[in-house]
Amino acid sequence: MDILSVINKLSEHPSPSGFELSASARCANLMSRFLDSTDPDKLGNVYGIRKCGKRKAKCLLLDAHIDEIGLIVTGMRDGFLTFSTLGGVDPRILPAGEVTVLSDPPRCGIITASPPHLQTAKEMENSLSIDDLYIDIGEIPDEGIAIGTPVVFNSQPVKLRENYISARALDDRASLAAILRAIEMLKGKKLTFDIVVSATVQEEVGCRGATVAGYAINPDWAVVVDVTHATTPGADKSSTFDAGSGVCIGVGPNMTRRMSDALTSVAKDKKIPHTIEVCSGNSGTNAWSLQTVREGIATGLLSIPLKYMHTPVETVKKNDIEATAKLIYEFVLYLSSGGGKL
Amino acid sequence: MTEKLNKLCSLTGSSGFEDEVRNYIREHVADYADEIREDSIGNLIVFKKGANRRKKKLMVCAHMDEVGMIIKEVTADGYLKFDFVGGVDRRVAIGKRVLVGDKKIPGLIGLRAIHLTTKEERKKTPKLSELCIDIGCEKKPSAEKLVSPGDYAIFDSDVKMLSEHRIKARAIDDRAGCAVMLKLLEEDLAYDTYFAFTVQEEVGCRGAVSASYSVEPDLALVIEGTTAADIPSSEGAGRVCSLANGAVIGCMDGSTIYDKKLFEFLRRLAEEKGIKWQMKSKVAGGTDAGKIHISKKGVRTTSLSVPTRYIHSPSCVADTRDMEAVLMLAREFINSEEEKLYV
Repeated sequence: MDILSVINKLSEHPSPSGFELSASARCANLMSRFLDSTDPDKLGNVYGIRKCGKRKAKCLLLDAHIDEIGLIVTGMRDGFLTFSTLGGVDPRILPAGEVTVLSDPPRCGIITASPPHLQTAKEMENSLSIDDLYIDIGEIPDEGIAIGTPVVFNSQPVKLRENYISARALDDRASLAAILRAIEMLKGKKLTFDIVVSATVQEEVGCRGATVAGYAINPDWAVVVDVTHATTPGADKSSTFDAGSGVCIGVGPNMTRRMSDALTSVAKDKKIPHTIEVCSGNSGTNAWSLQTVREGIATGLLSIPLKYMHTPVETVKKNDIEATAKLIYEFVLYLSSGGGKL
Repeated sequence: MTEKLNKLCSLTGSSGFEDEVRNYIREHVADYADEIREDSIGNLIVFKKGANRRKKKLMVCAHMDEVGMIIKEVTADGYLKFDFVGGVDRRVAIGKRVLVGDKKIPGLIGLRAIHLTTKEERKKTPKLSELCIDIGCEKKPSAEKLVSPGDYAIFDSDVKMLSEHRIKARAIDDRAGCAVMLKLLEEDLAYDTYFAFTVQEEVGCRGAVSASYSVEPDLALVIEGTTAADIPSSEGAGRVCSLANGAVIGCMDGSTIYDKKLFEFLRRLAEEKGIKWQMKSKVAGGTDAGKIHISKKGVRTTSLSVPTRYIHSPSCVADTRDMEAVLMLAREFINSEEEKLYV
């Protein structure tokens, strides 16, 4: 399985938070290549299930979210669409950006920008707010564009130099690709517990899909895979991780200590490049909601360093996705062979 | 026309690096031109004989170059520092894809993640010195194998129809003008005409200086893509001109007060032939006309422009009907009885 091809395949299916159905279906299709069965739920989460064959077997949940940030149409003005954001969008990335309005059929749109000839240098110092921006889809169709139509950035994955990939929504499709790669590697390996892979919805608006997934699957352990901030020019190095440095293992109250310890010791044993990511409170990932589902789930967090998070040009190094896949794979084998006291 | 614009907008031609556009045009006009000459600054001067000789020379002009970026420095971490070539509001560059150099190496201009910025920071545009191009290289030596200071970059943005008449592309300013001239060159013209495809308009109309010096026209028609700000955040005169309202006939901009008689002539022509036309409601910007009309002993100069939204950004939007209007009016102008241009 080529990681880039999985990302490409998922990329064809926009999934702004709350509108993930088409991507979930595609994801189920990808899962069915490596897992025994797939199952969608009422919210749009999709589960891929691998049974070990034992009755009352324990269960490991591997989670990544399927939704992406985007925009949503709020109305029309003078032949342009007004919009609001779905998830955290910095308005500075918007002017003159290309988007896909997910009407039927979908339409390409351009976010408005003012001509430089009419701007003073001082005006250019200030960013434009969402209220000053509109989506231009050319001529509005007779039937109009429905209020509530979601919108995503239009940027197909591209390969950069030195194993980097850039695309929209690598948060969190890079993680889904890592999980699927790990599952592929596990093919033919006998395991002592069941695995459920969850591709969950609405993470970007408050980790809502994961709450339902945790309840429905009721796993004994959960490993959440998400992205974290890679170092970019101007970033505070103490809160970022170098792209290419491997997988980040979350440590802190949001991660059950024995899970973090086990993940770290497996990474050390197997010489998988990794860094400890300290989260003093909420990790800002599905781990936060999963940890307290039902009477609580032993939760670990793996993160892949990602540059320019929540922009149309999110960038990841393939090696980090591979390191993440390798750690998931080794962790599953470790767990299956007794897994210490987990 | 749309097909020609498609092709022209797929080529790169940051000011000073117009080779791709020039090569395409040279090849394309070979069958139609009577004389093709590239001057030392890089303009392509194409002469086409008409059914009649002109007593006085007419030069039709459009520029081949577009706004872009130029690489200034490769950093220790393999990022590329750059400057804009021509007038670009850096707010349109953030979060966009670029292609670097002749090898078209894919890259992007990133932005620190929203999670790592404060609300106050997000109200400010990052300084140019804070922006850089990321091509994936992690160290200076590997990046330097691919890119060197002085290489150009352009926005990576394809050509698409947004709707029946609206086209989206980079560099519509001024590939629209080039497309109109290519179309005219394919046609039988009533009079001899010089077509000047100029370089370096975006950095001060420098090609036009050379072209008008060597051609020595008596009359000039500049064909351009011009600022349209017909968006909800602009009001009144600030909207400048509007898509689908027709060809813009030049009256005055930042560099030229256009020849009054030619303006009136074009206006009458448009009315007579039922071609949609409009004027700009704001005096701003400039065109090659700024240099042409003061060349040598002076040149009577006029202009026709295609209204273009989000000009100088990765995604300009224009209306194909406006392009047709510019083509029709330019055609009528060139084929008008010569004497009528001098009354």
